[in-house]
Amino acid sequence: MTVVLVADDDADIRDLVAFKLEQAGFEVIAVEDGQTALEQARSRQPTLAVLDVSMPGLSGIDVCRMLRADPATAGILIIMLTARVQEQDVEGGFSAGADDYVTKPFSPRELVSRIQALLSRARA
Amino acid sequence: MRPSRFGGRTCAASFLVGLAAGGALGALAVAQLASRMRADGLVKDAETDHLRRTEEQLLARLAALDAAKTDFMATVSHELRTPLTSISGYVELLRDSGPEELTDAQRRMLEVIARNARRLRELIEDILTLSRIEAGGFASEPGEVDLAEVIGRAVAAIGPAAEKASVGLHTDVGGPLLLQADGVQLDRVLANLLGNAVKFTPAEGTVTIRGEQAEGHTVLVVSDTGMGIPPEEQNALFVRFFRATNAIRQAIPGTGLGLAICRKIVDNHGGSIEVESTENVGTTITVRLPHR
Repeated sequence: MTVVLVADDDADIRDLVAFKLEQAGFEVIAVEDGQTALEQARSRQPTLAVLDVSMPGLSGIDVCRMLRADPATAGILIIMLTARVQEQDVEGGFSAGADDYVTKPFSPRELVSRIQALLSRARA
Repeated sequence: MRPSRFGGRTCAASFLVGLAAGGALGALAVAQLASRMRADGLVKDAETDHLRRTEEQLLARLAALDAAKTDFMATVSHELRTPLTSISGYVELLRDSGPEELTDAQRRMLEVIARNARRLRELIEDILTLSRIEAGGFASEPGEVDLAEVIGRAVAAIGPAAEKASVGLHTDVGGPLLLQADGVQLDRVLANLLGNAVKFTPAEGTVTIRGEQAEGHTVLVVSDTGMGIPPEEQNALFVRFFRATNAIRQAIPGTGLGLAICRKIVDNHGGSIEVESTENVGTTITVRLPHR
């Protein structure tokens, strides 16, 4: 089963994403901050990580950059969740190495299809 | 210093602050008005220095106020998105549940929640867009833009909605229409104008988009055979949050910000936007943009 790491400090959104992803057949590791996300990514080696950009402490962008910098986690696919739509935030996410980004409010259905698209692109 | 003079000036100053804080007047306009007051001899030389100092302080305060407003709007929109994500996301999960799990009445209620969450989202997006345009002017570096391409993109984007509403789309665009502009913002103008035209036009009606060059200007005309705007309301059409009474009566959704955004963008480009409308016959919006 494909393992997906979900990091968001908002419990409702974290549960929403986890529920939808489990329904879609993924195994989900849900965490509430960047530091835990980093630890879980290193120990559990998920195929893909959904990272909220604005988390206290380590932001999603920080986590993304650190995962990319470490050869052991550099191959994890990363989708950023952002509540900002300013161009510089999107560019910031991509320059940190994200594969895709989704802006809040997003449709859970759309998030799943973006994840599946990334996965099939990575497998191809 | 005579008390009457002092009192009058304070009153004028707070009037100006009020106007500017409301976003109706920029700091520049305040300065222009103040110098006009001086030129008109409304203020004596002895008081000019004092007035100039007050004016400078006022300008600094206005600039700070404007920056704070923009920052506040951006933060508020950002903060509103998070709870909205939960509301619309969980509603989607519920609406996706099996046919046996919900009654028809419950599905109708969820439809109402979903519709209103969407409305809230559009409001947040429009408020953020407007505050950004008011603050900074441009979204991207102005460069050479082909309005014909902008029109093509917008027509393609509105196509499915027009088809669904059985509204015909006609374009009449003469060749490349090059001008110096912010392409991202022109996309927005086109999207808003075509969105309105399709939304307010009943089935079997038509929307015509015309683009042409004329005397140093690029002209865009969007006409529809829609419900029109009552004559007494046409002046208010570009005011933020204004919605025509016939649109409200027929419960056509909208934020009342689309045309305010269009006007602000067109203003930023040094252009003009005009409306001509007859109720139940149609509306024509004409945008003129200088080539620069």
